[in-house]
Amino acid sequence: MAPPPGISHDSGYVCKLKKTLYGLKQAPRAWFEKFSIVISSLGFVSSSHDSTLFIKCTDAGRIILSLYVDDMIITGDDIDGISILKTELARRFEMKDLGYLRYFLGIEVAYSPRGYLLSQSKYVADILERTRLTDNKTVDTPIEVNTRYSSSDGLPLIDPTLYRTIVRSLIYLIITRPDIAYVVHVVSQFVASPTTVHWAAILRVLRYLRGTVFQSLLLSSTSFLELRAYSNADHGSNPTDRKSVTGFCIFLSNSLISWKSKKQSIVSQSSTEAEYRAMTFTTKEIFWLCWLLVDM
Amino acid sequence: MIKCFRCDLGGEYTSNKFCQLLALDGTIHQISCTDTPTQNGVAERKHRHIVETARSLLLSAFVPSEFWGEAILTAVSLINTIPSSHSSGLSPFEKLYGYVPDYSSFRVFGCTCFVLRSHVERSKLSSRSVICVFLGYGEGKKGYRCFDPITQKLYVSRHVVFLEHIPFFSIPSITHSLTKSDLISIDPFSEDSGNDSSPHVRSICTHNFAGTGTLLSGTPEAPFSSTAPQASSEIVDPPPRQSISIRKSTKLPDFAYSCYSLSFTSFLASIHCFVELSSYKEAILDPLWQQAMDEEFSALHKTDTWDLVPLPPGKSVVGCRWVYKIKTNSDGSIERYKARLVAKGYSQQYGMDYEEIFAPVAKMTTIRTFIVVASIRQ
Repeated sequence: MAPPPGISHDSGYVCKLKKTLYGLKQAPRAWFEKFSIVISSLGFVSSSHDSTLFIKCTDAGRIILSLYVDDMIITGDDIDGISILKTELARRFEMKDLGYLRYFLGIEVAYSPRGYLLSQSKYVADILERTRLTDNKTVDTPIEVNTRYSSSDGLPLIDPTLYRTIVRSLIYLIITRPDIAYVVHVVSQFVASPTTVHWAAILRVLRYLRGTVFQSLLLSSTSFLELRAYSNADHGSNPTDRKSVTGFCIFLSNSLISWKSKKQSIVSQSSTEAEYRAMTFTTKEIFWLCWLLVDM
Repeated sequence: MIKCFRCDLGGEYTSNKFCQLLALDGTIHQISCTDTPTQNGVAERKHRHIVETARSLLLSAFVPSEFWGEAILTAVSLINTIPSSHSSGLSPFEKLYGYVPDYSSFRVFGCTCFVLRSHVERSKLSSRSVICVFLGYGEGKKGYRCFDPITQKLYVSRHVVFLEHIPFFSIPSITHSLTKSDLISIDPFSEDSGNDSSPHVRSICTHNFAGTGTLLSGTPEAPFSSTAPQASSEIVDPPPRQSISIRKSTKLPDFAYSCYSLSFTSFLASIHCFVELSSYKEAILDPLWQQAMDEEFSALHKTDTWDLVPLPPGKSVVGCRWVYKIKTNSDGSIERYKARLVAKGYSQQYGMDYEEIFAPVAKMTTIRTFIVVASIRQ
């Protein structure tokens, strides 16, 4: 690597890296491996159903750690074990204890005895600010009823960058907003060559979001461990390739934990076939969730 | 055929001639009792409608109340053309004539406008237009009624350019309302009323000129305060549409923040407000950032990140740069200035500089499940 500005060196000399540095392609992988080694040395086992979930079971109880790059949430019934884990991690890494869960990956977390409320109000406000909408209109639904979008509608946008940026932001927003999952699935099909019609669809989502900035997702504490799943499919709704769309949502008791709106990969020849595919898809997710819950 | 004509005791409809006219058609003439306007309720209710509309026109555009007559005329013409729920969504105009009135000619009452001067009024080098306040629609003429308070002239013209987003008058406290004597010199039905240049009118002119000057340049409380410094130039040179849209969109976060608790608002606000640098040249001048870079360097040295070696022949170098970031606590206060050395990984080549790069991140479903399980077990 070229020596950074601010250090003295002879000309012709370069820095030979022995460790990875921010910005290198292999940096995330190296970090994850490093963390895995440290956490395994503390007796944690990575879950085989989500490798970023680390679990330690002792006589005193169970500690679960969820890692998202360099942010982590720790929970468990072994209070002493958690504080030991925190001091141990602080010794190995330079890290900071933010206390109770309040703000995680841009998601605002509010705790009440009824459960945890997840919302991304600030994120929504940021998206709206970035698009600089000139009016203050709101709409009640994120998408027009019975509208079929195809890639040939309208005129191509001159600069598709903003479209792609907004779609990317909306995809991240689905974390707490199942209500826009369907429309985001629609608009993200056109990122390659968006047109004015698709941009109008985006604007409608944004106006909808403006009216529902503070909508949040309640993860109820009165739940018990029981999965309920709902799945649905339409048939051949896409005017271009006639593929069907799967939709499902899965509740853990009364908290919505998993949902998806996704175009099926194969053309279904009947609505029954489409529904079967949707059910298969949902069942796979249920199986995975069951395993995950067993791990926890 | 009118069967019955009811009016109050105002005296406008009690002349002998009028009574005879009514009698000729066999119309009954009813007059309400003294001090009993309730007996003339239908007309009084309509008056209320008209006066309320006119009042909102005046107040919303900060137009001085002296222009009430113009406001009433405009209110009536608006009421006549606006669809009403009473007549199942039809406007009185539509009901009468059977076709939809032309709404495209409507303009914002009290806004700033520029009226093209007539050939007689302008010379080759004088200004082509005159700045006016828009006061309504021509009566019997196809044109806009625009009043120039400087020359005390009322124009009825169709050659008008409007700046509908800029009210001519500003908030009432600083509005130099026209005095009673001004009002006398305004004859809204005569276009040449301001032309007699008596000394009296002249003094009013200068007074008004100063007045409008302050009005246009804006004050901190003015509705468009965010652009107050440039406001006077805005009048001369209409701003591009874009700047208006910026103004509107910046309003939104304020609205959003107001719904949060006080401490959270300060947190959100402070995230935006600190300036983060983008270049080494700027940062090296600031001792705070210098210290931050020193810290990063010592950390890199402590972990023994690199050795200085001569570049092997035939190899290329990956660049690096500083990234500056202000870290905030969860309550929004500045925690520290953070400088970070990053490698320009985009110039790395697969197979040469790196191979496997996949690293897992937590699935959001896992995190949600995780939180539910945690909250249940609590």
